[in-house]
Amino acid sequence: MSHKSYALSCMTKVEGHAKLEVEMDGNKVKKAEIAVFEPSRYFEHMVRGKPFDMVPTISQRICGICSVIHTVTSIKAVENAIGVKASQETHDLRRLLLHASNIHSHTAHLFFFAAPDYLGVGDVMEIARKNRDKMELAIRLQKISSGIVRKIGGRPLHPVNCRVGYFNSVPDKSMVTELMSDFRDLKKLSTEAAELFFSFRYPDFENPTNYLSVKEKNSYDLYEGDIGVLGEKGFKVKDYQKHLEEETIYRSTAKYARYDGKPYMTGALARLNIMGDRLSKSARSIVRKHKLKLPNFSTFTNNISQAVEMVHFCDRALEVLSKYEKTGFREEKRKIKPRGGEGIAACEAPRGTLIHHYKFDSKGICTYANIMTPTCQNVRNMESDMQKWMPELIKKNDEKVKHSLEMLIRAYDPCFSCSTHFLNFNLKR
Amino acid sequence: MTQDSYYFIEKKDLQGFIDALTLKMSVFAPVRKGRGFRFEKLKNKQKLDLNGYINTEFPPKSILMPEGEALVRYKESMICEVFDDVKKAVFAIRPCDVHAMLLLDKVMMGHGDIEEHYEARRKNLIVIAMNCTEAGENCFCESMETDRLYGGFDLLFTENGNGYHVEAGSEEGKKIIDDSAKLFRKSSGMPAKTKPGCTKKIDTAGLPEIMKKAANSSIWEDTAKRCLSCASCTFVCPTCYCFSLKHEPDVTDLKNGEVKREMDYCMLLRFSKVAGDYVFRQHRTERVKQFFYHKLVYGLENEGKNHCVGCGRCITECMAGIDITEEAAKVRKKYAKV
Amino acid sequence: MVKPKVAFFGMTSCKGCYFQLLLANEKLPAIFGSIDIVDFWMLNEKPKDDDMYDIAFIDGAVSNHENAELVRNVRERSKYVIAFGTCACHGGIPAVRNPDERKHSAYHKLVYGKDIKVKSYPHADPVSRHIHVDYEMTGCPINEREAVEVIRDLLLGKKPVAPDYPVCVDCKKAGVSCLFKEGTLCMGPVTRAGCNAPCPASRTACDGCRGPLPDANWNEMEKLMKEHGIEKKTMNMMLGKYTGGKMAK
Repeated sequence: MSHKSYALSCMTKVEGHAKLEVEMDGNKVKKAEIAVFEPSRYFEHMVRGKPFDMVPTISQRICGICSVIHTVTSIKAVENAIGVKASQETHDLRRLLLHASNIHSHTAHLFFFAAPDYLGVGDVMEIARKNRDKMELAIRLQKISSGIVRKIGGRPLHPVNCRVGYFNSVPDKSMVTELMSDFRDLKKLSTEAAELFFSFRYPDFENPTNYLSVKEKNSYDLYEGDIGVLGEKGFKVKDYQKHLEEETIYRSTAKYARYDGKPYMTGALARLNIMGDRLSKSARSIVRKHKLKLPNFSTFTNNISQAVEMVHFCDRALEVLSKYEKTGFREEKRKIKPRGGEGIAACEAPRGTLIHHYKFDSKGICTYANIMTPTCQNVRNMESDMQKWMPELIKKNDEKVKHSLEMLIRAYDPCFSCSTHFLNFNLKR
Repeated sequence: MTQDSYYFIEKKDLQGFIDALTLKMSVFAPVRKGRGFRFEKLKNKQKLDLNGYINTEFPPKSILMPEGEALVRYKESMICEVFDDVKKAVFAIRPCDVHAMLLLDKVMMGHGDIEEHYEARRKNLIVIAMNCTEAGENCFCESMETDRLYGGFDLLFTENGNGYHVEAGSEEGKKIIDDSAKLFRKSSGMPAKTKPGCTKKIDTAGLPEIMKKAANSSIWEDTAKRCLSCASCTFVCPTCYCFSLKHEPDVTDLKNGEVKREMDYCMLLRFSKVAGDYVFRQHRTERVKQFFYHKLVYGLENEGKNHCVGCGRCITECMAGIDITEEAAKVRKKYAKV
Repeated sequence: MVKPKVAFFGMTSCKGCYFQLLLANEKLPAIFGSIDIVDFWMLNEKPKDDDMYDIAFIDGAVSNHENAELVRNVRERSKYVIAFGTCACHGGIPAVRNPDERKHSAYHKLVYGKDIKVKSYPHADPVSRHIHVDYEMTGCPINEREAVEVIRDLLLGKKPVAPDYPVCVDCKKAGVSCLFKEGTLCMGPVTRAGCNAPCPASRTACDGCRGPLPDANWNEMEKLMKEHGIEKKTMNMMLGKYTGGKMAK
């Protein structure tokens, strides 16, 4: 029997550092593993001993592309723990932040990381040279969406405005008008992006698995709800540890999770599968136009799902903002008096379900933290995909195998910094 | 001023006067912002609200020396100086700030070499001053004799009853009144000027000589221990004029660019840094001294006027609570009889 | 003019400074036109190990052996090394754990289990602790305009100079009303400027993310913090948040 190993020692065009190792015995998969070894940063240890209002400012630095979702989820978990209730306006402002940062993050992934594969170029700088119009589309999407995060959150990265219990400054009436105009522009650009990504040819590969996401009560949104599972009952956020077990793997600085012992996928595809019947009219018409049937079980559809979501969230944001069109948001500052307690919050990051879990003592000092990032939840599914696809891929040459597997992992839009990583690929035949 | 320079306008007509003025030129007036008021360019028909206005948080010098203004633009070997001669008006500027402006005129245009960018703006600025009816917490204009104006304005408003007495100080001022003649009626004169009632004071008698005796005093070291070198005092001082030039080539085409005015502050280390990275005023004590001496001593030597107009903004802004009136009092107490 | 060869490397960080660089908006394609980007780790194929660079940007703190080796390797191959981001300049958020360095092996086992192969140092260091750095571009995240200006200065043969004055100056220039004067404790007076004060502009106190200002008046700052009722322990936490718990003196 011929043994073949494939090694991808530096996976590029993903966020973070990880290593891929595949060992084949003929066309049997002996090993298909991901080792994540972004340098450890020990966030769950670092926030212990810190006061409640400092915790989100540290947690938000887990990741530079999804710092908004970490900020919001961390703050919600802190509020749940120390007994603070934010106003409806504060909740709406946070929703808008999630909409904008979702679009911003998807744009970065789709155009800087994924698009080169489907446009047949090596990297985004080649796109800048050969497909100037696509580069400009990406830049405009980034500029407007990060501008929205700055207008609401104070800064385009690591927003500072959003505090435990309130926002330090809020958009007035003229700013609301500006934001609505921004989202309308984003909608046009997102529609272009969606058409582009529907036009690409994706590998023919399917691997049905368990799909999880936070499921809002009524809308397709990212902010709150229980955990929905496609085709199953789902569970309450407070019970997450009963269903999602994290295990540390000797080869990796990221922990890997399983749902009731099985691999699972979170992210845009999972959200589309679970909440797709609540898409906005425009988003739905794009899906219908391109005859995308839901639920879909191909990992590569995650790319298209991200683009469709971008259109949908523009509509969602306009819906939220229209409530404040005549009045703007009200300023509210309060003195927060913490009490001891435990709090868990789950929100949908661009890449999937994010959970922050804290305990605080009666003085509001953090005594425990657990953070489950989407990518550490997806890794087992990445391995399962590789297991399924390798017997078919093995017929191709080494370069094609490596590239296909890279494309597969990229489709998850992994944020390895969140799970701490960098990709090295080792394939032994 | 001649008899026909005095007018009266009722409070209810003030908005109409301002609206008419904004149609002819850019009008900078106190607008509620931050902790108080700022001079901002009024938008068309913007409602004037001077309720509670004593003075602005930031001085009006930025109208004449805007931060980051392009002074020169160049494209390869073509160099073009940029001048702003758009007609502007500043409304409700206080006597202390007008005195500061007259002092800046001496600095920028009174020593032979004329700062032409300043001159272009100054020539096209209409000064509509307004006397104070009350003093702010930190004002000491009475001590610096800057609480009243004898000239230097195009129009001077003084609140009285249900309106304002208005004195025209120039032909330009008269013309502005004529353009809105329906809103003004002739008046026989101005009411007697009352003192605003400052609680803070500086005894300026012989102060420069006393300060010179205190040149090596430990008072400055003690004050420097509290100073954060944040430069807030120099930023909000209406007479601080120091600036440096920032060369900004365009990153997309290095052969084009601008040279910009960037306000600079003697409280910062970089202010006295020269080629070779040598800093003349390395120690905070030296920089603190420089500020007080420039305000109370060097100004008289160079321009014949104090570089302090008693507006009190530096006292208001200082996080460490350093107060120029207290410093002057300390110096007088220790060195006056020596 | 031969375009300078520029490379970008990432150590231990959230990669936010990378994204800030990519968010240089309209200037972005233009910079790509003036310089020859040979290695941008996240964007292109595997970086080569033996190229010589004119300018190397290093992001992130040095927190393990691989990081330390890479920065030494980059220094040998580069004419001009820029540490960008507070992590690279001062240790940053990864260094929040530094005061616990004696407990490192205990919490490492607690988080990862005793079989974990991957190791890290008990503390996260600024890059300058391992190699000589030519320019420190601080900020959490960086101000992307500073990156553009530094590249521009280097293209012109000028020595870039980082701001050596406090955030208070940026605040005033941005027209922000002083938060301190409203009763809010703000770290602006002891923090290096260069960010245009976006946090105070949205009524949030500066928390020192650009690292300490070398000439700051620490005694007066501590006095003001005490007046605001901050205890010594919290004071050290606030002053050392981005510098590994060390209060700059």
